[in-house]
Amino acid sequence: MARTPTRGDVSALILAVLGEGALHGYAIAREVERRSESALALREGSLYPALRDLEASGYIVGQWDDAATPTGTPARKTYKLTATGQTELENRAREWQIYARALNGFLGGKLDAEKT
Amino acid sequence: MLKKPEPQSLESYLSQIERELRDLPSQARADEMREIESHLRAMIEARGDGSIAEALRQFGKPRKVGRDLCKAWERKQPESWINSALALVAGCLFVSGDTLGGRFFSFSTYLQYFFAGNFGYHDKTLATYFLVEVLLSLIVGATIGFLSPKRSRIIIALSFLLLMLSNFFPDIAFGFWFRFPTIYVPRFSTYAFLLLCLLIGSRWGIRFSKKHKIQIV
Repeated sequence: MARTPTRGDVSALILAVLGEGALHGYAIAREVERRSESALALREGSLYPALRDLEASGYIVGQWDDAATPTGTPARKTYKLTATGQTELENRAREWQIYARALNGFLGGKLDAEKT
Repeated sequence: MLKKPEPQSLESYLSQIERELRDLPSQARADEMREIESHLRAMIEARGDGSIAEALRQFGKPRKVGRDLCKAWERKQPESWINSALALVAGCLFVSGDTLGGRFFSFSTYLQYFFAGNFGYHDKTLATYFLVEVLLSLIVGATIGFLSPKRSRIIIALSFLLLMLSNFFPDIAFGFWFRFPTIYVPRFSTYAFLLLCLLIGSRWGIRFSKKHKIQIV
């Protein structure tokens, strides 16, 4: 069953996706969907408050691409990671790994035990 | 027989979001709406059947999206200490205005006794009292111009409540020390009415300054 990420998780997801390259909001949502294999049920509207928070913290910068897309859709704003954002991403990844390893100690072995 | 609710259109969805962003500067609001609309149109286009309803459901409830975005903007632009101080001054004056006016009135009556030998109030003293109330209202109204739109809405609502109370329950007053029945109702109502007009005027001033990018503080 798909899980809705919390607000803190959404900003971490955005940082992780932008760590691979600059993207606009819609592309960020599609990339989260692809990489999570639809396991994360992201309310796409929740991306924009998280993007504003990350901009305010200086982790990302946004820039309008004023040329309209070929299909005539409105111009898009592309976001990219700053140097501070890259450091923040590394810190969060490290914290997550410690947290996941701790949880895995409690829950991770249970599924394997049931399989054997 | 109950009718099926009409499927929501993209325009009505966007207008619900925009309503929640009314406190943002106009350019910022326009940028946010442009970005959201671009995202939504891409979602609708990506769905082969062009289904709007499912795309809107996946994007989230419009009022929640708008409110969360508005809060993110408020976090982005923290209030300066000047605005916080002015809000405190306005709040204190709002609560104590009646008392301060009453104190001045009392001082005027004592002066009258000292010079004229009697405690009775007359038109000049009453006029002084009202003048103090008007002055206090002007000060509160001017400081309200620097408050956040949310706070000014709260104080407008309180002023309206004060106006209603003073009209229907003239004995209810906070900080009131005098019991002159003849001036009870008009004095309290005057203060609340003046304050309400000034607050509404200052709210218009805030919107005008944002629209024309005039920096107040």
